[in-house]
Amino acid sequence: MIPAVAAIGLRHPHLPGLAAEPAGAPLCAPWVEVHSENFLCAGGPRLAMLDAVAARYPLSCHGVGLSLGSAEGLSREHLARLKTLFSRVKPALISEHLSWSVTGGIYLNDLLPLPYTEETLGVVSRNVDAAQQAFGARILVENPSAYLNFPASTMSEVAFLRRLVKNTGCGLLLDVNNVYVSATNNAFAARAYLEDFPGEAVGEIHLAGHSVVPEDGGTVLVDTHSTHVCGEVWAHYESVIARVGPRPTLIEWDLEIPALEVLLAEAARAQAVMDARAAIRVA
Amino acid sequence: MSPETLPDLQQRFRATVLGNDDAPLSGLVQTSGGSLPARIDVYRNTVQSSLVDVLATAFPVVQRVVGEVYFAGLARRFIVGAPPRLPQLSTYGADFAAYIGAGDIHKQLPYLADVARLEWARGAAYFAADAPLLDPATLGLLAPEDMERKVFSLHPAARLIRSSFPIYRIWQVNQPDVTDVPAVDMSVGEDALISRPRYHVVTRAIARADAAFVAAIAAGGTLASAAAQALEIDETFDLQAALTQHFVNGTFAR
Amino acid sequence: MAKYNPRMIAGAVIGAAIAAGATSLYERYFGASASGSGEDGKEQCYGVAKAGENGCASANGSHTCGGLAKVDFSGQEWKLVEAGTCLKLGGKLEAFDNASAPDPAPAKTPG
Repeated sequence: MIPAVAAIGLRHPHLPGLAAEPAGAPLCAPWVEVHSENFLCAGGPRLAMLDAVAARYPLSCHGVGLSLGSAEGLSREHLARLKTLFSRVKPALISEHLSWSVTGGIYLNDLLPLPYTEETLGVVSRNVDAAQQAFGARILVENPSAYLNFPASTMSEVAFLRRLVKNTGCGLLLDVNNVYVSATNNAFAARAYLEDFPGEAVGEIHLAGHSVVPEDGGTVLVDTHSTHVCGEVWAHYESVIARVGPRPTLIEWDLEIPALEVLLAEAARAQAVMDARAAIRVA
Repeated sequence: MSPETLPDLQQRFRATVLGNDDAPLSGLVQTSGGSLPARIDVYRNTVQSSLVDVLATAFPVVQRVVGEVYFAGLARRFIVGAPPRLPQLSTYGADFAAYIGAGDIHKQLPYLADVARLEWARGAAYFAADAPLLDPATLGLLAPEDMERKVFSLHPAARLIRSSFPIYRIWQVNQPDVTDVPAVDMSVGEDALISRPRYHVVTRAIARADAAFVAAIAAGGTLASAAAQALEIDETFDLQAALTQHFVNGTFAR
Repeated sequence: MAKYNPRMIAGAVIGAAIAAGATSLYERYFGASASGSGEDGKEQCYGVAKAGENGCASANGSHTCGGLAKVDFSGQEWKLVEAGTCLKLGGKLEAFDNASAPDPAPAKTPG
């Protein structure tokens, strides 16, 4: 079970350090999350280090390659490889994205956007069912960051996710930075999106930093996970916690990864938000 | 029931992000303010440059030999022609050496494909299955007659790369800590053996006779027949010295 | 032709086993614990440790808005920057021959 406290995404620079901690040493974070696809190798040091971490830390496995939005369905082989990993390291949480990256058997290394239509809902619902059946576990599905949208969409992202939860029994991973990035890029109100989000389904929250990139006559927010969480996202996070209560919250930092202390300080800030809200409730 | 449009959209998206033309997505995507070509470029850039980075990380010496910008062009041509088929990027790049060997660059830098094979072998060794290493202490229990009929198996991480170019030397002088890259005598061939004792990838040049020995063992030969093949290459082949290094570096599995 | 007889092979194996057992390297590889013997700093800097990483972030193309997506496919641009170590190693490098490799869609004019 992942506790409703703040933690960090564990990436390769910090994996050897955590793996080498002595058995009785205090945990540096209450739990950690890794990208499942980086541990599907047959053996070797990377898998051995994950074994060592999983022996001490509650683990969340965050998938980036299952492609829940693929019209052609999920790869049986990939599901089987993930299942093998999960049997080995026994994650307390398994999550993936509301996006696609595989078509015609080709893997495009990105979390690509989907039009929100009845057809897409059918595809994603079937795929989430297949994943949950293969893993024998409920999964969390994360809202994506988007740089464009589809005129064919017939419902909002939140409406789509709510129906996905109803169809499949899956939970949701609310990425507050993704909401902010998508809202800014696609001119909708992040606040209204977050107030509408089905809080009871939220099993985890992600926080990350983005880059502000100039484009013709304006800027685009790019979800680079390369810096601190911005002030607006912190403010939205406070509102979310005030509304839904504490949730397992993860700091993601994937490019220009800083020292462990920087990541832990960012997690401590998220924890302070949850603690302050708990104090208000008690008082 | 509305007609299926998602398969077609996803094929068009793929063509757009792997190519340089936005036309396949025309009318299917929009922005609410902002430049649509710039937004499509964010996806295109992530797909292509992230895969260039994956190849650059797997083939750092190839990148250093040809330079970053040339490498980016070479890698992008490879990516577009042979994008990943597995959502598991530790497996992506297995065919890059063959691509280099079949391309125009092979005529200019004929050693480059073998260097790429060496680098891929190092990565493959890193991710290879675990297996108990041969424990040389147990060999002492065998009778001499059994010893010569002994068949060793290579450790799953062990890989022999044979070349008519000095691939180990080229690899070595292109490591990040070497700032002043010397000229290399390209007329000398080298064989490299990659292994992974415990969790450390070891890359070393081995003598031609030793490479023949390892190749014979890998093919299922007995110790005696492998030693005989090594002696055919070099009659001064020192079996004990070669085996010492193989035991230390984890060439064989139990 | 020289040939090892059974006794020579046995001697070589046992001699090698003793020699291997006597080296400090052997201790390091066979004796260290699984969690303590992960890749060392040298291995990381040589690139294996972070090989083939999947991720969920978008690439930062801030320098040109399109980043690498706009690099000229024909491979001409490298000449203006640096040509790598192949010149020092002994060798030369020319721009791509467009006929020699599977060619993608023609490069869009950088904008």
